[in-house]
Amino acid sequence: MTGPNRDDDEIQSLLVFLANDTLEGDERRAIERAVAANPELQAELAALKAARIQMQATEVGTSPGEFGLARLMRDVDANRTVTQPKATKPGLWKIAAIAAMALLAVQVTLPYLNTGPDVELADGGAESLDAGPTLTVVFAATATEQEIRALLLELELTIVSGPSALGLYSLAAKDEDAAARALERLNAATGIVESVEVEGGD
Amino acid sequence: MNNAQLNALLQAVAGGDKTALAGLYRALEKPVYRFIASKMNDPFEAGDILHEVFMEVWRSAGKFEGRSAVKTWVFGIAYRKTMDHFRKHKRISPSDDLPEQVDEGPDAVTCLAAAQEAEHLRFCLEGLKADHRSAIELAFYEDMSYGEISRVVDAPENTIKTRIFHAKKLLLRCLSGRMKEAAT
Repeated sequence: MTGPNRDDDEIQSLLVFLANDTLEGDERRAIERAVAANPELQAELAALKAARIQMQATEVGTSPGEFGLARLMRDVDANRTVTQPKATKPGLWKIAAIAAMALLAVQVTLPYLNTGPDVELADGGAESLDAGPTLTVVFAATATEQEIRALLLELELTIVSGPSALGLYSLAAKDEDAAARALERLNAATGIVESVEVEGGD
Repeated sequence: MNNAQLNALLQAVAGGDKTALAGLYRALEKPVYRFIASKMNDPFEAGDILHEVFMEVWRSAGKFEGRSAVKTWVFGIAYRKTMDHFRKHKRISPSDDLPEQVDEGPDAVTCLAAAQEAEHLRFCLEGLKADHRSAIELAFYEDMSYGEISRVVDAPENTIKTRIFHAKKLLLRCLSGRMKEAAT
């Protein structure tokens, strides 16, 4: 690979750092002088600045955000007590993702909305969920995390256990009325919920 | 958040403060994810790597010596994790020295128009090889200096200038070509 071993080449490479405004001192002044004297460099600098602005304006998907933070906190706790296990295979992670993120959605969102019980985020410790009726649910394999999250938030349901080996989740409702409403709504959500039944509770 | 604030958080993380880790995560998660995800086709994998990065931050915070900015240090971890992922999955070799035909005279005016088109820009960035692309992305997404980029990717500053030199040429040539294609 040829490197920028001539002055012109050095100017060419440093033009990028003039475009992002990180050049300083003599180096900056030298490049600015070169640009001022050369219309081609001026046009190139304009193109680079436009590229930078466009890149910074472009979203690269949605970051894991608070879900990722909850996952991080959980694994930090696990890391404190046991040797950190090696990362699961990507395939397994994908399969587990919807289930895990649904759980994290509840752990994360409730404290911020300040509508739920006092849950200490992924601390493995103090959870003071009120005992209430629970529903056993199997989510459809095609249900997305976003759909599951929206449904759980709408119905104010909290995942208290799961997924089991069979994919069963136990969801806590705040009272009997809420459980009855949830049962009806979950039964109707055929694209998201595969099966649902009330376990009962006080 | 400035470097002094990030540094204070990192020091607290080194002392086992999970709240500080959460603060650091919230401050850097989006740009680090963008840096990783721009190289990946799979957001799940990008999310996994992001997770590994912050687990590494948690484990290694005590080793940070302050010789670089905290952001540079975290991006360095992200870069290594991403390159390790590529090597492990043998998708590409980030060190491959692919043949490159550098056009000495791309039409800069046409490039300007193309650079304003997100689709053209994305296409042309994807055509760059990994180490060239990383250098350009760190310069333009994160506004890093060449010195900071050299610390992130652990390569000499002249190597970064070389990569930027080639990446810029290839990028502008590609943008120019895309616009000419679109015009015909």
